[in-house]
Amino acid sequence: MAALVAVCGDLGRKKLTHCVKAALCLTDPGTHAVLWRSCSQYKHVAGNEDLPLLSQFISPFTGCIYGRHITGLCGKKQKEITKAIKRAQIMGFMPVTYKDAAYLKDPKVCNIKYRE
Amino acid sequence: KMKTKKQPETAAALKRTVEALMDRGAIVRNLENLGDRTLPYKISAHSQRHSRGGYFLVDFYAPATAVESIMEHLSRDIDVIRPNVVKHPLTQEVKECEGIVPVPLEEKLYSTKKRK
Repeated sequence: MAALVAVCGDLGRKKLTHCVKAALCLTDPGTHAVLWRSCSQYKHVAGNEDLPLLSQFISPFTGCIYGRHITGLCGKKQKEITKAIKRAQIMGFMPVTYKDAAYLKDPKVCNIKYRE
Repeated sequence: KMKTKKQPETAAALKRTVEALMDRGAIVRNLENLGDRTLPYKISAHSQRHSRGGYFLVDFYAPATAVESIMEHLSRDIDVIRPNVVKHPLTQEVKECEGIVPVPLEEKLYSTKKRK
């Protein structure tokens, strides 16, 4: 029992550091023209003008929205981003199956590695 | 927000829409033209396939009960490709997001439910 608890305690600590690291990485501001505001000091996801921001969270090949384990956002912001993307797609502001060509060169925000 | 077919009668269509809004008791604040562009995907509406459209954004105050009748009226209009009514994003309050809070996993190891 004691040994089990010790092992799980170690695992817990590892997970904690991972979470804290993720939060720290997110606070680094992007240096490019397209701004990405981090999860902690984020203002409300804007109506429909923020297509560059929303396009950063979809795949350039399939247009699928990245999950929480890739974007690293917290629960609330992930939900807001997803809802905003879906709304923009249905309203006809954002393409669904691909990423708009103008936003392909944006800084990488998500934790994804593409095949060269 | 609605999309209109790019034709010389765009002004007439806009005027019709604004008048319909005012008939239902809406107070129009602002009308913006977001430009004409190719739609992100081809949209079929009123037995026609559209690939280019003009985007117009109408700011208005209206009672919540009028939304249904507005949508119904806009869907009947042939010139309007995709009518949409959304809440104004700036009226919603901005909540502070603390980011991902690290949860102590030792507490989640054993369930705290009362067992007989």
